[in-house]
This record gives sequence, structure tokens and C-alpha cells, in this order.
Amino acid sequence: MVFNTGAALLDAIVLAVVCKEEEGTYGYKITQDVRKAIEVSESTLYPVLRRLQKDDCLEVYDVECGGRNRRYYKITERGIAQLNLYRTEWVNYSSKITMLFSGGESA
Amino acid sequence: MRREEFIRQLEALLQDVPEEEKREALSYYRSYFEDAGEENEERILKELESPEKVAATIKADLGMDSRTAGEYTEHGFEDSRFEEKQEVDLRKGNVRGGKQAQASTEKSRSANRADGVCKDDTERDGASVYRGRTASEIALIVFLLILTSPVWIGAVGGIAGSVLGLAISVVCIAGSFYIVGGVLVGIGISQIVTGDLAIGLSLTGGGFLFLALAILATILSSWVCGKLIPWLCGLVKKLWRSLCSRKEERA
Repeated sequence: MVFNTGAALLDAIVLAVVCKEEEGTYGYKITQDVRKAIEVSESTLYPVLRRLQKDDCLEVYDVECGGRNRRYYKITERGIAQLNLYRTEWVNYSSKITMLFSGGESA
Repeated sequence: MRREEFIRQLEALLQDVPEEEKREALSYYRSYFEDAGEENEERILKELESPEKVAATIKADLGMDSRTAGEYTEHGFEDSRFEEKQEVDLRKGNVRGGKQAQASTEKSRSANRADGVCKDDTERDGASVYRGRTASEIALIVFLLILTSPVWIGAVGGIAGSVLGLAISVVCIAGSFYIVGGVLVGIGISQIVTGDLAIGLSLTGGGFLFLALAILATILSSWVCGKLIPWLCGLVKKLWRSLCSRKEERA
């Protein structure tokens, strides 16, 4: 991975991954899904998830699973709004960069 | 290291983190291991590197939440790792001239040694670089605290003294008003009985007024003792803890 993944982009990626699962999803699975797109170490996502939870972008609930509780994360209304903002910003940002790279009008 | 050992060490390292944060983090990593299954245990332990690094990641983010470490809000803890990684990748791919990339890797290596962490894996040096920066920051904070100690020790002492004074005076006022009110009511009633109705009634009325003021003062003193003082103590404790947790990160 040559490009940096900043805090905002990481938030956006995590929100997008959690948003895909209507029933919610859990820490290990989120990490594996995020890794399909970018390189992150196993310890990167806990603080991100915790922060998104505190900002009311994600809600958590425990589900009994094989004799123990598994913590599930689910996107909130606020999280969806935030994700939509990120999506718009990303389209803007990436299309300009793509234009530049492909030698478009601004190059 | 086994995962039980990892969790145990992480728990010890998170001693100075608020109880709720500690519980959340530990339960996250416990279930992380369980969801990954035993076949992945070895790989995850290797990738997490050390309980120290995981604890530092958690604490770095908690510092961000209180908005005390402004410069980390834009560049998260992991980002410095990506920066280092990028240089390593470039070096491997010979994209950039060897010397320049080599120099920066050397730099991060020496930073690594300075922190007393001996690891061959240069890709992860970001963590130690980050710690180094915090250490100098902490040194600056400690230096400023010592330099300004005459001011803040005086200020803290003054605030504590005036709050204590307020509490004591409010209690004293309440006590004296009870006594004055009681005496006045007593004299007033005896005046009513012995014949002078006008003086008796006015004395009794005045006495009840004092009793009412005494009750108000009681309410005020219970508020000062029950709410204001514990709140101030809590504030001081919180400040102290945040200072301590920063010191801890330095280690």
C-alpha cells in the first residue's frame, strides 16, 4: 500500500462495511472485510469502532453465540448520514484525481 | 505467547484506563480471538505484535477523544505506520533512489533503538516513532508544570481554601439562625401568654423568619458538602489521572 489511509477514510470504509450487513456484524468479520480493500493490522480497528460507537454512528448489541456473548455492530441513522457524506466527498475527490492522472483537461 | 497470556498482559497494561474502556477493549479482543478460531491464533498474535502496542493504540485514541492531542486527530496512530511502510515498499521496489529511502529507514531504526524496542521488523517502526514524539511532549508538559508551579499551587490552594471556608461559614450561619430563631419563638410565646400580645406575636414571627433562613442555609450547606466538594475532588482526580496515563505512555 503506497497511499496513506487517513482517519476519515478509515471511518468511511468501516461504516461502508458495517452498512452492508443489515443484521449487524462483529469485530473479527469487520477486520477481514476491511482487509479485502486495504491493509490494516489486527489492532487498527478497535479504536475506530469504539470512536464510531461513541459518536453514535454505530450501535452495539450482544448476541448469545455458542455459550458466550458476541458483540455486534450495526449502523445508525446518523452513521448512514455520515457515510453518505463520505461517499459524496469521495466521488468528488477521486474523480478529480483520476482526471489529473489520466491527463484530462486540468493536466 | 498464548492468547490467555496476551489478554492477561493487556489487562495489566490498561490499569490506568477508565474501567469501562478497559472492559470494552478486553471483551473485544477476547471475542476477536474466539471468532478467529484456534487455527488463526498464532497469526493474530503475531500481527498484534505485543500487548504493549495494542494498549498504546487504545490509549492514543482515548487521548484523541478528550481533544488534548490535537495533532493526532488528523493523522491517526496507524497512519505513521503506513508512512513508514510506504518507504519500505518503495525501497523494495526500487522506485525511489536507494539512498534516500535507505536513510529514512535507518532513521526509523535508530528511533526504534532509542525507545529500547529491539525488533527486526522495520515495517512496524511507526509505533515507536509515535512514542518518541509523545515522550518529548510529555517532557515539555512536565517542565512547564514545574516552571508554573508557584502559580498553580497558589491557585489550587486558594480555591480549596475558599470552598472549605464557604462550607464552614454556611454551616455556622445555619446553626446560629436555628438558635436565634428558637430563642425568639420561645420569648415570643411567653410574651403572648403573659399578656403583651403585639410584642409576643412580632417576636414569634421574627423567630420563624430566622428558622426559615436557617433551613435554607442547611440546604445550601448540604449542597456544598454533598455536590460541590465531591465534584471538585473528582475534577482534580480526573486531571491527575490524565496526566498519569500520559506518563505511562512514555514507558
